[in-house]
Amino acid sequence: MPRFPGFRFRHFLGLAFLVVTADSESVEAAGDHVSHIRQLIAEGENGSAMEAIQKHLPTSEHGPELRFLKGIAHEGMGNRKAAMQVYRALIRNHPENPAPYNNLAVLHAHDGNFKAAASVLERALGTDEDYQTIYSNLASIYEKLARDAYLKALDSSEEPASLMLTHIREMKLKATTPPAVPGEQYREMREQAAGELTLPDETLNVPHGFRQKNYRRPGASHQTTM
Amino acid sequence: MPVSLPRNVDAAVCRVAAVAMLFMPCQPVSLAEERYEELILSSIEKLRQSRFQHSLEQAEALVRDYPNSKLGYLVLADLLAARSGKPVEPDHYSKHAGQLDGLRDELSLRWQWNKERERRQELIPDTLLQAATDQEYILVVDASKARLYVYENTGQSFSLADDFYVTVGKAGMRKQHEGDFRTPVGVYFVTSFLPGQNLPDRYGSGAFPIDYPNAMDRRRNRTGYGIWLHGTEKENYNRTPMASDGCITMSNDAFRGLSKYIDIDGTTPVIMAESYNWVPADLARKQLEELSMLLDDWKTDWESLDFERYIRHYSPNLFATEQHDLSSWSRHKKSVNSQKKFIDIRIRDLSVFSYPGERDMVLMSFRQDYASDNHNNSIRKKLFWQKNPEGKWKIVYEG
Repeated sequence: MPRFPGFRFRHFLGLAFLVVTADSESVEAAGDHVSHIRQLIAEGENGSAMEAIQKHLPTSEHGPELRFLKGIAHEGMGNRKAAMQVYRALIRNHPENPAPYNNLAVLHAHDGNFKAAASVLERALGTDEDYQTIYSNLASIYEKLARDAYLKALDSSEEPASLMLTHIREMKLKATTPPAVPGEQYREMREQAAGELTLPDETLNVPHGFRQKNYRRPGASHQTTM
Repeated sequence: MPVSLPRNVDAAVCRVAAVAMLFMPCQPVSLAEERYEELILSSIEKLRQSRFQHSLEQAEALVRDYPNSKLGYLVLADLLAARSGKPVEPDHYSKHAGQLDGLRDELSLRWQWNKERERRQELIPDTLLQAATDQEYILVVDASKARLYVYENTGQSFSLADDFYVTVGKAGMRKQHEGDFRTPVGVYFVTSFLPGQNLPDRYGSGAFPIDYPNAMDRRRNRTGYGIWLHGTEKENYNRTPMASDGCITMSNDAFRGLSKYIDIDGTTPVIMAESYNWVPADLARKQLEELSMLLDDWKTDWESLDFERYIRHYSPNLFATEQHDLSSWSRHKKSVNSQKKFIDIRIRDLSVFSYPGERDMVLMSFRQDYASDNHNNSIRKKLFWQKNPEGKWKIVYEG
């Protein structure tokens, strides 16, 4: 049986590091007030962070990012209802970004509303057709493996299951602004994350976290039968 | 099939010979079967702990190391299906529903037994009352748990030495007719060993025939023959819980593990039933005390040459042997006794088992040394006792 890289628990940890690192690196580009607010949240100063957000929100060019941080600060203060409202509003205004869906789903799950959480996560996947294709291909492979294993369990002489996978025909380039000087304070964390993932260092420069996407929408995809 | 070894060979020699014929690799015999079950159960345990990837890895190891395990593939298939998030039900499910249900039953029975094994150390199946000194191990088949228990005779009591997953007949227990795909219920003895290389593939590593039909079966007009404990065909690791023609089958690993507990000179009992009451060992000892006194009375009354005292132990309407009912038995005994000045009876190697499948019945099996002024002999005897409606134990079969 093949191993399935990317589903090992330590890789999840690695990804978590990646998110933290990338978020922090985007700080330089985002402006001083955003960086300051992130810092406050990281230190658990959610009240001060909230004050700063309210102050900058009307004028900042990083409005969506500040609102997202507002959601996180609400969560930090235990105002889950308020946080959910923030994420819902973000989803309405920026339906193409997966991050608010994700955090809303986490809150739903926390309340025991697993169906709602799953449905929100499905919508999150729908924000990026590439991910949708990747997840669907992965599911198809597991499905084929499962069908073949059932045949063996049942001693069936039937043909192994067919496998339909989908190609992505167009590589979408995300507009990235690599930080001019990578934050020195994050180097160690980045190296650790790289070690966990055994990925080349430059992978870590792919931006994560909330930002507006400005890549082209995906073109037509096409199916391959194997 | 001919008996492969002479019956009168010393028990230990028989066992060594049987073991030598079975084992090529020099490793703990039941290890492979134990590891097999461990892999299955730990795959499920890890799933319960939400360690999905570990669970999947265990299932992959299972089918890698036991490629003929249908259950291994089912566990793997279920995990992969769950991972795919798609409804992966075999298209031809209905065609194979029986096989799938059988595998799921096997999994659930293995799981349940593993959960209660610890608890069962304190209790014993109520059939076990006393084993003879030459019966080192007693095999107990429990169809309700798809398990064969190996009880060690500790002299005072019984302790669970080993246990194996086993398969019984397609139609369940309580064999009555030849070809009914049922497994007999009763107390039997292993009669011989048949090595696998002399048998068709479906018997796997070999077979231990038992003495079905026994006296009680004949009395109940039960037919059929060739009830064996045996291994499994190559393409399966083992069979689902109800999948034999009436035999007890097990994995070849389990069969090799079991063989070290078996004497093939007719001393190893195999008790088979749908299920048992599990009782504390001292309860069994209490019941045994009562039964020992009963046997002692029977012996003393026989020795007394007082016919009325002797015959009261026999059930007027239920007693029967192959040749006699009670009236012909009485005539025979009266005529024998009239020629005697004394009878001296010695009973040794006594085993007492509560007889499964019959209401309030006990089987006493022993060696009887008979001495009198004009005749001496030493025979193996079986006495079946049954409680009458007044609650008195009466002999219903002697032979």
